[in-house]
Amino acid sequence: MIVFLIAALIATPRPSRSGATPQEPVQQEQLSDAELKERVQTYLSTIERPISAARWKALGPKAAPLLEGVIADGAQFPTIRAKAVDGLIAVAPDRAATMVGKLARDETEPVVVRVAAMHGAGQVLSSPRAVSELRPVLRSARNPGLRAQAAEALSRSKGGCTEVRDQVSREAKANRGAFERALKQCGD
Amino acid sequence: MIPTRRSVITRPAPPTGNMEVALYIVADMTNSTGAPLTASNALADPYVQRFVSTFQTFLSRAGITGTATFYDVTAADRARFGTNISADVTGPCSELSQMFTLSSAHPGNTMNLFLVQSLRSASSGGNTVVGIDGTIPGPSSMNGTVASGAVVSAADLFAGSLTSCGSNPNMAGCGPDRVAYIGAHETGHFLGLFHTTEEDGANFDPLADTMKCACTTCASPTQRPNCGSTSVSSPSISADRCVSGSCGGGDNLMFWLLQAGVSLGNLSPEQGQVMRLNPLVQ
Repeated sequence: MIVFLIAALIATPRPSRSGATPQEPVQQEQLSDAELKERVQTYLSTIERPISAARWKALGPKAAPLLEGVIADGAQFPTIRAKAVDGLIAVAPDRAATMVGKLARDETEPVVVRVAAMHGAGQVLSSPRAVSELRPVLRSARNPGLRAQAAEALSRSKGGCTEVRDQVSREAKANRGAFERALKQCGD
Repeated sequence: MIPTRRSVITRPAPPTGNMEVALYIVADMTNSTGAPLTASNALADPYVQRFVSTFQTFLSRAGITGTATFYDVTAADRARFGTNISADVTGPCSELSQMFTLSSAHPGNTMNLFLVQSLRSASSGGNTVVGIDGTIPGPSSMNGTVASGAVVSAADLFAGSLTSCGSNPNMAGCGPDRVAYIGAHETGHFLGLFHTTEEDGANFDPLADTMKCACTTCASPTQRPNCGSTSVSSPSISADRCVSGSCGGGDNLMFWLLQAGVSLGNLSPEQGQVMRLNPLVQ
């Protein structure tokens, strides 16, 4: 029995590994300013636990200025800024739409921030705008992994798959594995 | 009934031990001089030196001496896994599982940490996380499996100035220390540790000497009625609510958050014992 127990313990994946969060109805929380600040701080401090869009949305639009302040602060750690981008996309998509394209294209921004911005661009921009804003990243980002991220974001936009396939045909063979997710999304 | 044979191997917990740590540079990133970060130049970089030193400091709190060795991966693996890997595990063919199999290139009894730029969980809507362990505990001494290691975001490694790091681990202002903290946290999971307190403040590790921080006692008074709720309004226990008395553990390495100013990377004696009893520690 002990052997089986040990084997089961070793074989059992961590329950929180995927951080899967069911789609929950979004009901805005009534938080004081101090509680809101504390909650934002907590969500930006997670290690393995992803914060679902529903939880971010529940904080309401008052969270947007706090998150914008974090994103704009270059002295903040890149991973914290990336999480703030995730949060802003959920709580204020219109405001996020004004910055995600620029962040995604900016070669001076940390990779993790650009990845978050690209993911957001695929969510908050119209398809034609997402294609025009992310095409420069897809075609000319120095990092092949970033080009692949642009491809993944575009694979969810109308007309994006043509761009993705064209780019994959231009990529060196060694880089093509990075485009697997995008091509799968495009049905290839 | 089929007779079964049971074997239980026991050993006393040694007061100290050694552990080999293999650090895989999967991220496509540059070091502090702007050159590509590689296994050959990593240990010459002052930011990486600080990262290794702080990581060793955290391990030493469990009585473990860690020896770090860096490894490169192929350009194709860097492009596929290094920029943004999916944190969702959907099976042995998932990106994370496949990346862990890269450890087969270096067989040995090693703690394998994979350094990438970004980790995102599609199941939550694609949001950013900074570390994931394969399983608790990990398959120690078996490199090359789909759970043979843990992944850490190295995105903060070269952030800020080393002058702001100070002489002690400083997760509030020192990028290398943050990455070391995450690496040590994931190593703790791999060696058998659970979060001392989970996000909901209702689930805790099974150890007797770690401080816990229960939602019903430690959440803000207005949030306590929501403890136990499964809705989006359920409280998330922040580290700064877990700093004294019956609400503790915010400073522990295995608390569920890395919160600047509160997280110190402390470990209890029993946590150290669990870590040292893992076969990776010799």
